[in-house]
Amino acid sequence: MIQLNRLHGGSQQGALNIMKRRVATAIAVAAAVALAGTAKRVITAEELQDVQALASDLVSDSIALSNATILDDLDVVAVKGSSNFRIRPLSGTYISSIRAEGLEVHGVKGMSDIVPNFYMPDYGSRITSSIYVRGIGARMDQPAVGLTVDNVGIMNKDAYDIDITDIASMEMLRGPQSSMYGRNTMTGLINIRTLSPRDYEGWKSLVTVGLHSMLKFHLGWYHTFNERCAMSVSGNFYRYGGEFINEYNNKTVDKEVYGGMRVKNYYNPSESVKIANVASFSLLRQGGYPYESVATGKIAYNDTCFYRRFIFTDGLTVTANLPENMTLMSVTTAQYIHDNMTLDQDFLPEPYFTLTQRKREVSLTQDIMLKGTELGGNYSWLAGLYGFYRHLHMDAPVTFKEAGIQNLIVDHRNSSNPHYPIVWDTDVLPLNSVFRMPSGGVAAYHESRFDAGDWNFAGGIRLDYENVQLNYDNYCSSSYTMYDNPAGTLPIPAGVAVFRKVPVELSLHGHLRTHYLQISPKVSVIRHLPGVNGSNVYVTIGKGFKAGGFNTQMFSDVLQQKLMEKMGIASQYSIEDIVSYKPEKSWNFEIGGHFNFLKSRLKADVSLFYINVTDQQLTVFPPGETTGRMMTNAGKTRSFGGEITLDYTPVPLLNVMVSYGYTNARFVKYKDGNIDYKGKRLPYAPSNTLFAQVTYLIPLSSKAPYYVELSANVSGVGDIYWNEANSLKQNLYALLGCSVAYKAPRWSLELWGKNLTDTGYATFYFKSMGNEFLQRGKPISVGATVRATF
Amino acid sequence: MKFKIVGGLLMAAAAGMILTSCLGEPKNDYSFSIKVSNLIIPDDLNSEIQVSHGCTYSLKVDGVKNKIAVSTTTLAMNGSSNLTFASNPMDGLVLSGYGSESATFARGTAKLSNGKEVTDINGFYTSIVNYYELAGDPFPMAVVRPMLVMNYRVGDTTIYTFSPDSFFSGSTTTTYSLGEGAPEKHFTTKDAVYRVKFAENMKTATLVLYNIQFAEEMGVKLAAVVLKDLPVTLCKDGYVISAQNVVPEMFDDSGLTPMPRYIFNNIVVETPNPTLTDIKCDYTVAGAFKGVFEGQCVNKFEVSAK
Repeated sequence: MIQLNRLHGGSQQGALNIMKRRVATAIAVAAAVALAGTAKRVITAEELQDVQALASDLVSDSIALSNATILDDLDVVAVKGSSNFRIRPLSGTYISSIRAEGLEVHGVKGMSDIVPNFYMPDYGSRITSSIYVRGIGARMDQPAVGLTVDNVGIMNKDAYDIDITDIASMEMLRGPQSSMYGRNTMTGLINIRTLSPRDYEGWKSLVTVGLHSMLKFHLGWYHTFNERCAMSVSGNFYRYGGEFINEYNNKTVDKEVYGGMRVKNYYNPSESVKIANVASFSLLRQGGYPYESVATGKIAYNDTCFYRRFIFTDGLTVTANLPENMTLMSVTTAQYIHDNMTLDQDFLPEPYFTLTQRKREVSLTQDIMLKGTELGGNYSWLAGLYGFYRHLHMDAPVTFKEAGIQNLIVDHRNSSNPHYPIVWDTDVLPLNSVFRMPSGGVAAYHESRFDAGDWNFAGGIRLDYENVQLNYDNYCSSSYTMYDNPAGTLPIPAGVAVFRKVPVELSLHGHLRTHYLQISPKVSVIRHLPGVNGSNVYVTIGKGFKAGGFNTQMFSDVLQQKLMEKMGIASQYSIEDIVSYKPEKSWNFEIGGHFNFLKSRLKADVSLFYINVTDQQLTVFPPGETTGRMMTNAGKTRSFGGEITLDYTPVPLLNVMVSYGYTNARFVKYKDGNIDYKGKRLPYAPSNTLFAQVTYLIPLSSKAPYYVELSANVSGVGDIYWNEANSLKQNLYALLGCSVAYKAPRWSLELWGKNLTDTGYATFYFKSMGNEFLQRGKPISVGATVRATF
Repeated sequence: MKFKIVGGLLMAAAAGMILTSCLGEPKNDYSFSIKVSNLIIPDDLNSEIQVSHGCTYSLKVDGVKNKIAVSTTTLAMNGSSNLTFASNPMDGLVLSGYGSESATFARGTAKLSNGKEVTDINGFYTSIVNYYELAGDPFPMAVVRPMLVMNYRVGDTTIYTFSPDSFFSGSTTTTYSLGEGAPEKHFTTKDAVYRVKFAENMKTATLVLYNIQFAEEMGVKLAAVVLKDLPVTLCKDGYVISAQNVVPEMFDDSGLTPMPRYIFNNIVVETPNPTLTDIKCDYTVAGAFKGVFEGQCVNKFEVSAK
C-alpha cells in the first residue's frame, strides 16, 4: 500500500492531500454504504478510514496522474511541461505503480501490452530494444522513442531494457517530442520515475517465483532524515531458467541472471534550491536468441549465443526557484555501457560463422533550462541549452568457420572456375573490425505558451547540430591454394598439381564523418471545455527526427566483398553507401481530446494522427549470402490512425481500462533497386494494439482493510508484416492474463498468470543467407509474488 | 565528305545554352593537347589502311566566340612523319561545367605542311567519358579520360582519330537455356564495360570484359575477364576483331588465371562506322550463352558520316 505523499511544507502539497482525501472519501462512503448494506451492521469509524485508504489505492490511473502532477519540480519532464498530458495538447498513457505491479510490469517492454500503438516485441536479447509507435520505429542503432529514467535520458537503445522493481509511475507521450527533447524522440518519449524517499519512507520488498525457475527479488530502503535530506537505496535481482531448448546440445538458450542497484539522494540546501542525484548500475548475463528455423521448426545451432552487459548511470538535477516566478533547472548525466554480444550468426547447426560485438561507450549530457511566467500567468515560456558527447569503442570480429568458408567463399569461387579450384588453408577465417565512434552535439530550444481564457496556444522550436565520426580498422590475414585441375570436376580429384599459393591480406582503414543540422518546430492549440468537467480538445503539428550515423554491422560484409574481389568476383557496394544512413524526419499532424464524463468516473482520451516520414531508416537483410544487416533510407512513408483509451470506474472498487490503437503505415516511395514497394505496409509494426483490464476489489467483510483483488486482462497485437513485400505476416493474436491477490496492510500475496490460453505467436521473423527464422512468443506462464513493507 | 551533326547535338546545344547560363561564364581563350591514334582510310579500298600512333592535336578554344582551331605537328601518313597543319578557327559550340569541357567544331580547313589541302575537319572533344575503376587492374584506366573524336580529309584519304585503349559501356543481353528442352531465357545487364586495347602494330587487340555476368543464375559478376591477342582486321568501317575458341583469363589478386569453363567459342567485335565511338560485340560462351553487346565510348554528341 502506497502511503500518501508526505507533506513538504507549503500550501500546494497540502491542498493536494486534501483533494485526494475528498475524492477517496466520496468513493469510500459509497463503499461503506454498500458494505453496511451487505453486512447488515454499522461500519465503525476505524473501518471507514481503512476502506478510504484502500479505496485511494484503487483510484484510476487518470486520477493518480492528476494527483501526481502537483508537482515534482525535480522532474525534467514535468518542468518541460509534459506532465499530466491530459491537460496538454498531447496524447499519452500513464501507468501508475499499482497497475504496473498488478501486471508484473518492471520495464519498458511491459508497457507494450498496455499503451495503444506502442509495440516493443520481446525477442533476441536485452540488447534488442526495437520500439514501434504509430508504425514508426527502429530495430537497430538509433531509437525512434526517447527514454528517461529519473531524469537520465538514456542515450543508447541497448540500455533500454532494464528491470525496475520500484516504479512510481510510467508514462508514454506519443507524437514527436523533438522540439523539447531533440534527437531520437521522433515518435514519442517514455518517462519512468522510480519510488522516491520523499514519497515513501520505510522498507519495501518483493519476491516473485514462477515457471522455468523464475525468481525475482527486490529490497529497498527509503528514508527522510530531515526536511532537507532524504535517501533511498534499492536493489533487485532476477533469475530465469529459460524455456526454449537448443536441440543441438539440449541446453536452454534463454536463461538469464540480472542484478541492479539504485541510490537516490535528495538535498535541499535552501527553500528555493533542490538537488537530487540518482546513481544506478545493473549487471546482466543472458543467453537469448531462441531463433527457430522455419524449415525444421527447431532451435538448433552449434555455436554459443550470449549477451553480457554492465550499465552505470548517474544523473544530477539541480533546481532553483528564482525571483519573478522563474525556475532554473540543470540536469547533468553520465552514462557508461560495457557489453558483449556473441552470436552463432547463422543460427544453423553447421559451423558457418560467429559474430562478437564488444563495446564500451561513455556518454555525457548537460541540459540547462529556464522557465518563467508573465502576464499574470497567462504567458509561460521555457528556454534551454543542451549538449552531449558520446564515445563508442567497438571490437566486432566475424569469424568464418569451415562450412562458411566452404559454402560462402570456396564453392562460389570454384563454381566459376573448376579447372583451377582453390582450397582454403585454414579452418577459420577471422574478419577483424575495430571501430571508434566519437559524436557530439549541441542544441538550443524554446517554447512559449499563451492562455486566453479557455484557449491555450503553444509554439516551440529546437535547433540541433550533431557531428558523428567513424574510424574503422578492418583486417584479415589468411591464404588459400589454387590447383591445376584439367578435368574440371569437383570435388578436386586426388593428385592434382598445385598451380599457385595465394596469400590473402586485407586491410581497410578509414575515417568517415558526417554532420547535420535539424530544426524541430511544434505548434499546438488546446480548447478547454469547462462545461464538460475539465475536458479539452486539441490540435498539434510537430516535426521530429531520428539521428543519422553509421552502421558498423555491415563491415563484415564489406570485408567479405573485398575478399571476393581478390578472387575475381566484382564488388556489389562501396563502404560509404552501405554503412552510412541519413537522419529520418517526420511531420506529425494530430487532433485529439481528453474527456471526463460521469463526474470523472469515465475518462476518455482520443486522438487521430497523420505522419509523413522522409528518409525512413529501415533495417534490411542484403541480398545473397551476407552476414550483416543493412540500414537504408527508404524514400517516403506515411502513417495514419488513431488511439482511444477509456478508464472507467462504474462503481467503487471496480475499474475497467480499455485502450486500442490502429495504425496504417505504408511506403509512399521505396525502391530497393529491383522492387518497388510503394503501397506496401511497413514491416515489423503492428496495425492494431488492444488492451483491456478489469480490476475488482472485494473487501473482506470482517477484516477491512484486508481484501481480495481480482483482475483479468487481455492484450492483442497484429497484424504484423515481416517483410517489405508483405508476403509474410503474423495475424492478430490475443493473450489472456489474470491475477488474484490477497492484500493486507503491510503485505500481499498475488497469484498471476500470463498467456493463459497458451496462444502461439511469433514476435520476430527474419531471413538470413536464404534461411528463414522466427522467434516464438512466450507460452503460458504462472507465478506468485509476495510484497511486504516494513 | 560531309558530316552532319545529328539532332542530339542540337538538343545538346540547347541544353548547353541552359547549362552555361546556369554554370557560369565559359572560359575565354584556352588551349590543350591530346595524344591520339589516327586511322587512315583511303577512298580506294584496294589500298592499304594505315594506322599511326602518338599524334598530338592541339585545340585552341575561344569559349566566348565559340571558335575552335585545331593544329598538329606530329601527323604521320603515307610514309611521312611530323606533318603539320593548323586549321582556321571553326564555328562550333563550347560547353563547360561540372569540371569538364566539351567542344564541337565543323567545316574546318587547313594546309598540310607537304602542300596538300586539309578539308572537312569535323569533330568534338569531351572529357566526359565512360570509365570504370578496378583496384589492382593489370590494365588500369584513368578515372576520367579525355577523348577527341575528329575526322578530316587529306586528298583522297579520310583520317579518323581514335584511342588505342577505349572503354565501352552499354547493354549486354545474353540468351541461354538451362538444360535441354528448357525455355529460352534472356538476361540483360548494363553494368558490364568492354575494353578494347590494341597492340602497337594494330594486328591484335586485348579485350577485357569488366563486371560481366552471363546469366541471372550466376548470382555474381566476374570482375575482369581477359581475352588476349585477338586478331584485328582494319576495314572501311573501322575494324573487326574476330576469334574462335579463346580461353579467357580471370583477373584476381593472384594474377591472371585461365578459365576453361568460360571458353569463348566465338567472338566478333566490329565498329559500325569509322568514327570508332561505337562497337558491337557478339559472342558465345561455353557453348551455351549467346551474348550481344552494343556500346559507346563517349556519352555526348554524335557525329556521323554522310
